[in-house]
Amino acid sequence: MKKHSDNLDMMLSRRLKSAVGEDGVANWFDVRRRAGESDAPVRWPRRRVLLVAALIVLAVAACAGSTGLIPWLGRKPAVSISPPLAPACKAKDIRAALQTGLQYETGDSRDGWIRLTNINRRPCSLTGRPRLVFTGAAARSVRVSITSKKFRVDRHDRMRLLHPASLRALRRGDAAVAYITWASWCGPGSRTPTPGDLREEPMYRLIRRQSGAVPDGLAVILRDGNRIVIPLPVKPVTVPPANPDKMTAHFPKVHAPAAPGCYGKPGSAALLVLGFEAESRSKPRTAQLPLRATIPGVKLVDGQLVGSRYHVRQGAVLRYVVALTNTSKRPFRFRTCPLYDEGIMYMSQFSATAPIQQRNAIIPRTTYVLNCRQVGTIAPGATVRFAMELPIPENAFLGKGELYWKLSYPFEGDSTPTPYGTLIGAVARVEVVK
Amino acid sequence: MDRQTKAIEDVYSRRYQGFRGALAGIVGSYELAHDVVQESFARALASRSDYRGEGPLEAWIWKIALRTALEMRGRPIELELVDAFEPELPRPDRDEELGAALKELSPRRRLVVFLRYVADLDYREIARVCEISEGTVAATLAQAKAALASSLGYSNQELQELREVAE
Repeated sequence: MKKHSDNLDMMLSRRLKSAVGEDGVANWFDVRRRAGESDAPVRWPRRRVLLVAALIVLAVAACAGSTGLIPWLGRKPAVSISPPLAPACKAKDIRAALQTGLQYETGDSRDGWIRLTNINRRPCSLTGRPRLVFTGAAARSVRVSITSKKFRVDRHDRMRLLHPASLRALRRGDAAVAYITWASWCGPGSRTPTPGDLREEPMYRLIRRQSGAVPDGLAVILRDGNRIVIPLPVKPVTVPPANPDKMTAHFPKVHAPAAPGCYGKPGSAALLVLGFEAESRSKPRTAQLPLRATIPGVKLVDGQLVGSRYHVRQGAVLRYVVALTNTSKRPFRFRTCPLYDEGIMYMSQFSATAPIQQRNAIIPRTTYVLNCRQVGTIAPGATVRFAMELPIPENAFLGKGELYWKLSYPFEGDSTPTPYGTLIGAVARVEVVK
Repeated sequence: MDRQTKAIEDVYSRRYQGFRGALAGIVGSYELAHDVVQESFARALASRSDYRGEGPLEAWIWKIALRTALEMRGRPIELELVDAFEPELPRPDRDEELGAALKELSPRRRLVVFLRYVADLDYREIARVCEISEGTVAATLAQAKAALASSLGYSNQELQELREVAE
C-alpha cells in the first residue's frame, strides 16, 4: 500500500526538480560581502584619509573626558511596574478580530490568534480569565472542549520599560492578543492518530463524514460578562453530490483551503487559548537604534574572530566591556534604557560529532537593563563604553565558546531574527576553565 | 571562521541550488531567486548570534529567505508567510502538465509542495518555516499529493491506494 505513495513522492520530487532546476552560480564571497564581513578596504584619497583621521582624533579627545567606563548596573527588568488598573473593557470599547486561525473545516488543525483592540479614548483593562463559546444555531450540536489559561499580566508588564502596552490599562490602539490552537472536529468514525504517526488522511473520506453543522461565530466572554462575538469567516465545505471526490469550498480573501486531518477526538473539537498578551500599536525596535556595538580588542576578520580570548573560571564572574558607537550624523540620547542579553554559546553546539550534552551546552541567556541613565547625549561618531558582567555557573560546561552580547528585542523571549533590522550586538572568544 | 559562519556556509554550499530552485518558483524568476538567496544568507550571517539552535539551521535560514522574498517583492511584511506567495513553475514550458497541475492547487499547498519536493525540507522544517503545525503540513501535503496524482493521470486503483496509505 505504501508503494504508490513512495512512488508519488519520488515522481513529484524528480519532476519538480527537473522543471525548476537550472544551475545557478553560488557565490559565498558575495554573501559575506553583503553581510559586511569581507569587504576589501576602501581606498580613499589621501587627503580625505587625513581629514577623517583628524576628525577621529578630535572626536576621541572631545569624548574622552565625558565618556569613561559606565559602571555595570546589574539590574534585571522590573517585575512590577504596573500602571493603575483601568475600568474593565466593555464590548463597545473593543474591536475583535480573528487572525488566520479557526477556519472552518472538518479535521483542520492550526494556530491563530484573537486580537481585541481598544477603540475607545479611555484606557480599559482586560484582566481575569476569558471564556470562549461558539454561537449560532449549530453551536449546541458541536462538542467543543475549550481551554483557556490565566491572563499573564506580570510577565508582560515587566516589559513596560520598552513595551508600553499593558493589560491593566490598554490604551486606544493597544490590543490584547490571545494565541489559539484549534483542532476541529473529525466526523463520527474517524480515528485519532497516535503520536509520531502523522497520517495523511485523504480529504475525500473526511468530507463525507462531515456532519455539516457548524457554528457561525465565536464569542469571547470577558470577566465582567461582556460578550464580544466574532463571526467565523469561512463557509462550510460542500460536497457536490454528482462528484463526491471533488471538494468545493468558499474562502474569503487570501485564505487557502485548510488542511484536513484528524487531530482531535473523533466527533469533537478542541480549542486551546494560550493566554493574552499586550500588544502596543507602535513597537519600539531596538534594532533601529543608530548604534554599533563592539567588544574592544576583538575584531571580525574574514568572518573569523581575532583578538584576545577571555578565560573565566566556573563560578566566577566574567568581566568585559561593550562599546556603543553612535553611527548617525545626529546626537543620540536614549529615551528609555534598553535591555540587553548576554550569554555564552559553545563551539560544540555546532559539531555534529559532539556528544549530545556538549551540543546542548549553553550558558543561559541573561537579560539586564543597560545603564543608560549615566550616558547622556552621545555625539555623532562618539563611543560610550559600558562595563559588563556575566556570572558563570559553578557547573558550567568547560570549553571554548563565544561570548555574545546584544540589545534585546522589545519582547523578552522573542528571539526571532529580524531580516529588516540590524542586530546591535557583539561577540568575543571565551573559554570556561576549572 | 567561527563555527556558526561555517555552519551557514555549509548549508549554503550544499543547498544553494535547492534554495534557488524553490525560490525561483516562489518569486517567479531565477535572477530574483539568486538575489534572494544571496541576501538571505547575508542576513543569516549578520544575525547568526541570534540563532539558538532551537530548530534546524536550514529552516531558520528559509524563514529569513521567505521574509526577504516578501520584502523584495514589496509585499506587506505583516502577511503570514504561508499565505503570502503563489508559487508556480518559473519556466512552465519545461513541464506543462506539471505546471497546470500545480496551478490547480491553492497557493498554500503549492508553497508546501515546493518546500517539500524542491527544497527537500522535512515536515518539521516546513512547519517551522511556515509557522504551522506538523500535522497541518502533513495534511496539506496529503491533499496536494492526492490532487497532483489525480491531475497527473494516476489510475483509479493507484489513487485509491494512495488514499488508504494513512489508514
